[in-house]
Amino acid sequence: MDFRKSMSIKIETALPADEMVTSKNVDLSNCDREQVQYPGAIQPHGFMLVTKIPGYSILQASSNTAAFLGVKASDLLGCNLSAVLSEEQVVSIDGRLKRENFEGAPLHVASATLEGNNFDVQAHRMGESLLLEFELRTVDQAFAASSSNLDDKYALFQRIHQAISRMSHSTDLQSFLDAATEEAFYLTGYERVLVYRFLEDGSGWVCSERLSPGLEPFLGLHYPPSDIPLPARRLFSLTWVRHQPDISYTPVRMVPELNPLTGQALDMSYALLRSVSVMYVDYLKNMGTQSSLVMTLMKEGRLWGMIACHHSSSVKHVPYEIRAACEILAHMVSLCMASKESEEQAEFKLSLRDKRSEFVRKVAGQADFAAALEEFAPDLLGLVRADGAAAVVNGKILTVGITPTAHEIQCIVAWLCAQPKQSVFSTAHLSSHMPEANEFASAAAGLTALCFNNPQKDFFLWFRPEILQTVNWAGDPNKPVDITDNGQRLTPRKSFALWKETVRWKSDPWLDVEVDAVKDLRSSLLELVLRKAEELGRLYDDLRSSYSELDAFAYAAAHDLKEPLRGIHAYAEMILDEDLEKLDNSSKAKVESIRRLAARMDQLINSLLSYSRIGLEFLIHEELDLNVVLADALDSLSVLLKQYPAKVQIMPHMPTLYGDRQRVLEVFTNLISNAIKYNDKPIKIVDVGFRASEQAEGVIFFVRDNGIGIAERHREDIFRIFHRLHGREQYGGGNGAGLTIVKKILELHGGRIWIESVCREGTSFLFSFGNNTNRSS
Amino acid sequence: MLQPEKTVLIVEDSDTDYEIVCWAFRKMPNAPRLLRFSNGELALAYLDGLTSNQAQGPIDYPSLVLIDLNLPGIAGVQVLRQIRNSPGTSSLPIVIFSSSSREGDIEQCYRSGANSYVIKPLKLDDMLQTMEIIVSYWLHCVALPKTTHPRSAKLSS
Repeated sequence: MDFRKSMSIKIETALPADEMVTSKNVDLSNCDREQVQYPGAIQPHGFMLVTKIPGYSILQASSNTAAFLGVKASDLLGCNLSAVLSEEQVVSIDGRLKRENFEGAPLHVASATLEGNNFDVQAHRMGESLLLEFELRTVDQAFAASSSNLDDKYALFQRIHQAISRMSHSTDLQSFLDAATEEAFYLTGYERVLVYRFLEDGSGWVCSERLSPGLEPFLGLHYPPSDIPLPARRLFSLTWVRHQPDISYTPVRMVPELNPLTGQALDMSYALLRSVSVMYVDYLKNMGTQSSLVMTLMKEGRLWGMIACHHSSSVKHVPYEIRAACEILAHMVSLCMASKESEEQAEFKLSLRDKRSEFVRKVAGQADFAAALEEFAPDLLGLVRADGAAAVVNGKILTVGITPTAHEIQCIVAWLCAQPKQSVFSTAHLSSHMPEANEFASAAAGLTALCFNNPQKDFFLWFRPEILQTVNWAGDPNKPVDITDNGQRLTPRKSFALWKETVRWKSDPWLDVEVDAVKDLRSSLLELVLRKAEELGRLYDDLRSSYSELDAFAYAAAHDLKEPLRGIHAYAEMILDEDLEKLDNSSKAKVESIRRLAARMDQLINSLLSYSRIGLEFLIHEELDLNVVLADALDSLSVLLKQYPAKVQIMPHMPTLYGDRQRVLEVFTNLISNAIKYNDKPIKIVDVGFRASEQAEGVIFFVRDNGIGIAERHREDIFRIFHRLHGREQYGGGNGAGLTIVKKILELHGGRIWIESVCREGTSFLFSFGNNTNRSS
Repeated sequence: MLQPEKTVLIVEDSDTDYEIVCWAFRKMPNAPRLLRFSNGELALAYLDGLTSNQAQGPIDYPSLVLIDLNLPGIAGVQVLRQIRNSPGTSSLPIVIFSSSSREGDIEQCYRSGANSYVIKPLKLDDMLQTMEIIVSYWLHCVALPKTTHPRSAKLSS
């Protein structure tokens, strides 16, 4: 696998020289633009030759060649590479160059012994130039001590194998990173190894650390973006491993300074020996570091962080083999980290999903959706990580955990309703959207809202309290600079003492998976509501058809009863009419009873017929002037009124009503006739009128009498069919169906009826026609 | 001058109800003759035979038809419609005689061409009074077209 390729990133062309920020003029104000890839110099733990491709004549050399080769750099220019390396090595390099191209990170192409020193030779190309880096080979003391001998390649393989197997056994991201830190610590022998993770804004923090005893930990510290400026972050993403054995080095200039082929400074983006930015050197020095090795961690093609190794007690050279092992380690960590992170997220997502389906299942199990939401509102808290939750259903607010007050929740809902339509709204900083939210930030600095029925203003809300987010900065991020004694250059701050910054009005941020979970909950609920509505519709249809079946049955039964009854009655009458003289008195009385009973049964059947007919026949709704309807009612009661004189007083300006004329007339006629009949006062008074109601129905009607009254215990009974409180011949007779019919008519209009009564003083029947009534002048 | 005896055709499945009607007719002076069919098919077949068979005597032509609604086989309304729709009988006066007081029934009968709709009363006195009114109105009071007579309908067509 050629993982070098995966890091190749296009390098921007150099800016014109006068605009260029280089090591000569860099300070903190412009370090974001420093052309760190053009330092024009290298670190001194090796030398560099730049040759032309093809031909390998030397174009540039580092000015320290004399120290290693005994030949001055200027004397090497124009010579062939074979002046330094053997003929076979040059041929071998040429062969590989043709096959492997050599672009990107350097490849180990040869080992050479020159003037008694061992060198690792690594090569890569930049355009038509071949950069050959001769790195002085050292024996790594730490590693040599721990594993017999660096030449024993198997020891290194084992080391890497162990590292990988250990990391792959870690269960979560943190322990995985801790394992990686630990392995890098043993592999490099550095005193401090830490994992530094970049945040969205370019700042970063130390999320894992392994230290030699006695050092001050950096774990948990945050660093401002200026500490690792953009160009440095970009270079980090080009190579897996960068090594500065000695921070306090003196840069070695290239001779000549400009590449003869390009006429520009040499692009050292990939060079191992590249001299690093003075800003970076100052920064490391301020931290007390003498030697550093940095491994890059990538996730999905983007710089995620790095494993930084710092050594403060001495200069430290890490040999090529160890760095190659570090490269494998960094690459492994990068590959596994992505999957560890997604694994963790997937697990969390799964747990959210389980809770969500449990919740939906419970709600679905209840017949009444709103009631189910009330019952299971406490479960809302488990659906996403939150400290409080509220369900706002039908204007009712149910809360669980730490929430704002009901009034504040109403304000939030009102604010949400005023926003552009959005099914799920989520913020970790509510007061940045809704300034008044500052007042209840202790309960709801962060809000995730789910609207599942906008016209009804039904919401689920989850709250997170303000966490006075404490960021432990390594020094004050607002003053990341110290001015050097001569005041000429701003340098990265010397103080790395802990500096706490408090972030106000904010909550722990909501994760994407949590917001997604809420969105999924919404679609599940909507589906549920739809299904419920369908069920309800079906149930209603069933109920209606069984009601009308019942009415149809009652009607047919009653109808069929009438015929034989008519026969019984007729024969009894015929006997009384024609055979009277043949009967004795006792028989005559019995036949008379048959006739009377048949007549009464006929009345009952008629009542049953008219009651069942109400349910069978459609109501014909029309605008009714109750003043007219009541006049008609009095008209039809005129016979009764002659028999039982009474004072019927109808309130002027009765409202209009939307209803079935015949049925509404029946209601008033029935109630008024009851009021007249069940009355033993010398002056019978019946008042008919209306008053406003606080309920949605708007208007309540009444028929009030000064009659015999109805005892409390009978107030439900009187609406039952054929139920009579008095003897059948008492109070003008009646068959006990009238009030049942009245009640049914009112219910069919969406209204209701009830009683207020005082025994022996009178009764008020109060009733409404639902919201079918209009007040009119 | 002695009026020729008239005939009232009655379609009634209930023996009891028929007997009650007979009782009322017996109480009436100059009562017309009653011709009963206990279902619609028989009645329609009889009327159909009248218009096709010239040998029948005049006494057999009904001057009025009484139909009960609730009949076995063809429903009363259907009998009413067929009489109305058949050219030979389309102008016969028809009175529906039913125990149903349902508005739907009443309306449907008038729409289908009934001349009257009478709800069967319970009391014998009421029955007698009702029958007297019907008979005196349709048989003695009103003038009817000649075509009412099935044969003349046949002849004129």
